[in-house]
Amino acid sequence: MNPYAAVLLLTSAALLQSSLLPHLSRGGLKPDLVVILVISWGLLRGVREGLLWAFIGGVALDLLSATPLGLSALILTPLTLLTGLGQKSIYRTNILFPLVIIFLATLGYNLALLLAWQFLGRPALWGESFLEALLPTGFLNTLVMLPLYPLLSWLHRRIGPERMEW
Amino acid sequence: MSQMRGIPAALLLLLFILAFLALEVTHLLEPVENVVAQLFFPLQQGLDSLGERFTNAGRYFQDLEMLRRQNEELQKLVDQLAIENVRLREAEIENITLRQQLDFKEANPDYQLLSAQVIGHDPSNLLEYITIDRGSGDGIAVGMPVVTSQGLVGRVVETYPRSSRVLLIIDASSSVNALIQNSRATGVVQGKPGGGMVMRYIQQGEEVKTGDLVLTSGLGGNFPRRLVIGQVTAVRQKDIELFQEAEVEPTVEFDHLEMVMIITDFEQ
Repeated sequence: MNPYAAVLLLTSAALLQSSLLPHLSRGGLKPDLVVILVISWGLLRGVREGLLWAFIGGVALDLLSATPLGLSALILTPLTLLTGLGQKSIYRTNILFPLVIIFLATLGYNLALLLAWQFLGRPALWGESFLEALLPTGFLNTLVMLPLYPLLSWLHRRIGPERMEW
Repeated sequence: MSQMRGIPAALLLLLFILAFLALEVTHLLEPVENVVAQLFFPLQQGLDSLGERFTNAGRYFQDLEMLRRQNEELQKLVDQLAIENVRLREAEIENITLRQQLDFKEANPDYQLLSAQVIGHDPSNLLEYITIDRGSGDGIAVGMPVVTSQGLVGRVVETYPRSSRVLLIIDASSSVNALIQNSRATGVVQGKPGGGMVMRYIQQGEEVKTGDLVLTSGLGGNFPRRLVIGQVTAVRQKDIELFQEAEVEPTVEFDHLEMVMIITDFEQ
């Protein structure tokens, strides 16, 4: 996908996540739309495009968040590398694998964020954070992935083979 | 000459007609008429019905076109009214919020308040921050308390020329010195992941009950005194522990936060 289109898409997703989704959320939880998009794209298109999306998505998230600029990109990059290294063909044909992957990726992403914040002097409250925010977000992201992954899969087929040019 | 030749034929025809009329008058043609009527009736009926159908079809298409036009006009009207309805509802909600803010202003004449709209939330579920549409250009500075008519919201932690970031009191990194309204017991209200709050460091022996109102104590100088924080929903007290703890439900509905006020003249 054209990287400029990726910038537009991921920035829009980050804006949605920080403006519209909180109003639609119940119990204060909203899906990590950008994380879902980045991980899904990495699974579908491979590591190269996935890493670019991780960088763009991470920066877009950090611009709208109280987290230091670059932190989300720093966490998403190795996460995408890990998830994108697997067998793309399996991910593409079976919906179950991406669902498991997004659940684990959500936990990984948020745990890494908590760890980073603890280093930065913010109270992490591991147990409460895990039960009250991380686990519910993991399930919510998995639920959102269910309709989103086939949609991205369709987009991936429409675009054709991987090609990136700025 | 040729004209003369047609006269006998015309006379003959006239004669024939007269004879026909005579037969008709004398009802002698009735059996023939009956047979012909029997033969023509279904044909006539069919053709008449067909004609009626053609007329109806024409009218149907005319009506259809008219109905389509009417439908379009009504749909436009419905759309306009729906938009108008949403606008009025929004204006009503805004009016209620502004009236509540005015009431708060009148009840707290010492505070210099500036209204702001919430324009964003932190995208992470682990952080409880909001972004407001007032910044350093409007005189907003780091540390200023943010409230609604329902109670304390948080404090400004970052400012930009036209916007600011506010740390909500439900964030895990937020601590507010507080007191229980009835017993005057003091403690610290801290945010919890998931949007709740807990009041810690309440001395053993202090009376804390469910339903008690929790206010800012003003200790530490981060927030003005007597701002409503929330209500006690549960108390955890163990004799072996040094302090008691109380679960606090915020009075501010953080999920539906749209407008806030910044106390601009508060000096820490």
